[in-house]
Amino acid sequence: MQRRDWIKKTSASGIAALTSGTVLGDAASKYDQTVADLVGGDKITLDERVELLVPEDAANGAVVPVGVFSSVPDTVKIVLLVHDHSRAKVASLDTSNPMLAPRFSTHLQLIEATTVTALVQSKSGWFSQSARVKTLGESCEK
Amino acid sequence: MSVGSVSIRTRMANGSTFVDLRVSHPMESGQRKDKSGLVIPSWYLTNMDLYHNDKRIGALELGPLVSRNPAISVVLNGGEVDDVIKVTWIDNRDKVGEKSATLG
Repeated sequence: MQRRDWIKKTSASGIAALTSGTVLGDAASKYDQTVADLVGGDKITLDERVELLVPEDAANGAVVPVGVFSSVPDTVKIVLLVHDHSRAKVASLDTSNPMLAPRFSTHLQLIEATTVTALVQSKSGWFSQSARVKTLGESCEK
Repeated sequence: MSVGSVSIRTRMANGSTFVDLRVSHPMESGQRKDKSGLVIPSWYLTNMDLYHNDKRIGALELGPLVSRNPAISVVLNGGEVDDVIKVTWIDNRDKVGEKSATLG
């Protein structure tokens, strides 16, 4: 095999492994594992009463605004998660005290094209809402 | 602002109190490298507790994906003039801090 062919072949297989295999696979399993740790075997229902406010296109990936508002009765916890990242759990807020409204907002450092999920725990179960965010500028590394 | 300093802005409207917190903190994920290629050690807030008149009303867990100098907004159901809002924080290096503000 010519040196040039060998470089082409190994480069292509390396890139393929990075994008479709190990790295993304690990991030995906981190997300699944984090969700499993949170909810146990409970069912998660997609619910419009969970409002997740994120921009479709974020100009600066280092500062992506995100807001969560839950109108699910008796919300006791809100958890923010990201997919495709080695750390899935971003933040969580315990709202079990009636003095605290079930909503909060902050800013995230996101990689390009990430799905953000808001999980809401109430006395009647777990509810969720997700949104895709595409970052157009600076962002953190995986 | 020095690392860990907190600013609290509050406004009361329609029976709710809107609380905007800003903490000066690097929120390093531990996954970035400096110019010489060395990994920048992780340094991020892990927990914040929110108090209303010395009663703990909320707990926030944070991870390294929250942006540098995090701005966090929460809403209280109620709140009166002269009530005291306090926030405490701890990071992954066990540094701690707190700040209070009076509603007015």
